[in-house]
Amino acid sequence: MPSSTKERPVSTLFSHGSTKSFVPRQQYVFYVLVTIVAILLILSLVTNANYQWATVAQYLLAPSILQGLLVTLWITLVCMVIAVVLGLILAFMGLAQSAYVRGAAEVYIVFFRGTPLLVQLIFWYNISALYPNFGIGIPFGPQFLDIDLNQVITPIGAAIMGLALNEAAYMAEIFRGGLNGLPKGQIEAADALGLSGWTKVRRVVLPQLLPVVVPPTWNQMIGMLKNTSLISVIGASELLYSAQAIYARTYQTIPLLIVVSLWYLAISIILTIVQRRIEKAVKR
Amino acid sequence: MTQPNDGTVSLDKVVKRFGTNTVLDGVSLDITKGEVVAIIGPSGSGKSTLLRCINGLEKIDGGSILVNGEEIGRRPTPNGRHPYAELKPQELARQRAHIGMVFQSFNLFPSMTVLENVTLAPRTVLGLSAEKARASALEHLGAVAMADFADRYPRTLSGGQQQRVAIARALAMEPSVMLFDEPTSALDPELVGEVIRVLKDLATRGFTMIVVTHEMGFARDVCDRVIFMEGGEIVESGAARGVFTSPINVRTQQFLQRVLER
Ligand SMILES: Nc1ncnc2c1ncn2[C@@H]1O[C@H](COP(=O)(O)OP(=O)(O)O)[C@@H](O)[C@H]1O
Ligand SMILES: [Mg+2]
Repeated sequence: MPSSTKERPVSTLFSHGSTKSFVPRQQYVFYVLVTIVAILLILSLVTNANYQWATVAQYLLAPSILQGLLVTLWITLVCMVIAVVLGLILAFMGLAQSAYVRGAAEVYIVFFRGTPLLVQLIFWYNISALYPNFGIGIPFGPQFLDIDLNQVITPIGAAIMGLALNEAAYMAEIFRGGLNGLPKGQIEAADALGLSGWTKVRRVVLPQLLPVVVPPTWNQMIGMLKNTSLISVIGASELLYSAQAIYARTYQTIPLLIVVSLWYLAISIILTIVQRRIEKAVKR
Repeated sequence: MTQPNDGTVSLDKVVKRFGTNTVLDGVSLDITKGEVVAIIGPSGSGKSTLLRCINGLEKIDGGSILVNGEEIGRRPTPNGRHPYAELKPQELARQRAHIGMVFQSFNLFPSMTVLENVTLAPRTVLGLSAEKARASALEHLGAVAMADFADRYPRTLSGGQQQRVAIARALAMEPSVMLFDEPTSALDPELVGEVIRVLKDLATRGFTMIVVTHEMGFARDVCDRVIFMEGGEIVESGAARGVFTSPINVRTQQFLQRVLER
């Protein structure tokens, strides 16, 4: 075993302790193999008629697909906004003096991170089986507010609730890490100068916090984009659901899944490009 | 009542606890305007906590602290049962604005230039115009020989330079009292001198200064008074030369022996 892998460049980590790195001949064998596999893949993409590229082209810009894409995009955005706000609240609860408040935040995070998102989505969709009515009032006394949950819990409503509540747990962890990592001396210096309230937050806290929390938050957003496909199982008409609705009729399963994948890929790539820009900007 | 901004500090039986750990155990101290006081003592004796209590960064559990005759952290009420009311965060911030504090680790704001570091509080807290804040900042930076570095970022400066900027930043608030918590302890030995020179200069300009320090030469030669703290108490307090040449308390003697031997 190599005595210290830490100081060695990554390229030599695969050479099993020999002092030489990749021998050029081995490198060529590797490149040739990769190239062959790539060519075979491309050949099969072109020659295998089952891909039905014509069908892919036909549906790529179909109105119902674009409609689904739009739903995917706005649900991603709305859920992220809710999750960021809720995550911030949970993170500050985690810093509270009161053990009850801290405990509540902890229980929330454990629960939502500890159960599968898909299960949570189906659960919210069926919440009306558990609580047919949602009311606010005195037990056995008068009701001030009475909502028929069967009316409120639409597929989209349950989807937003499920995705946002789940994501909030992850966002809370990101914010908690960021807040814990704030250099104490900076806050003290601000306090000692008499800075307070919004000035302190805007000029001292945020410049320290944003570089730490923005990149992972953006990462979560890319994850959220793809997680929205899960809400198809409760009948929310996002991108995947729209494609399923078509291939349920036409049996053109593969080409429609390709259409869907191309769209997810395109949006992810755009988000990734933006992320690189943001990372550069917050790094100063 | 004394005049505002007159530069006096008065502690009466100050008690500070962290949980069950009593860190300040009845500290009483009177400092007059323009007096330069050194606080020495072993690590953990409560020196930093004392400074932090004086500018209200820590709440005290007993006694009282007056700066410029104004009580820090609370104000009297006419209510007999609750004779004091705690100050709101903004009121506390206003009190702190008139007490300068310089930290061991400089704590400059890394995303701002030297000039922005120095003008931030005068502009946002004192409400100075950009022009006035800039002029005053350059003046204070000049006093610590850092005016030429106004547009640099802190990370491009040496420790000594950063600490001089931190001093200018505190001075720009026109404080009546300046607190220094081991201002040279984080510096490479060859950079200690430039910061000590700035401190000496401030001492001659009539600032009330409380300096926690391990620089015994500075304490002896520059400070009017030296206070030796141990275990959260003031063990000995007296004219600088007296404490160093003929300490009365045996614990002071032992401490001085340890640090002067090095
Ligand atoms: N925020 C805090 N929480 C708990 N204990 C503290 C805190 N700050 C200081 N202390 C304790 O108070 C004592 C005095 O600390 P400090 O004032 O920093 O001493 P000095 O500056 O003389 O080295 C130490 O025992 C330290 O552990
Ligand atoms: Mg200390």
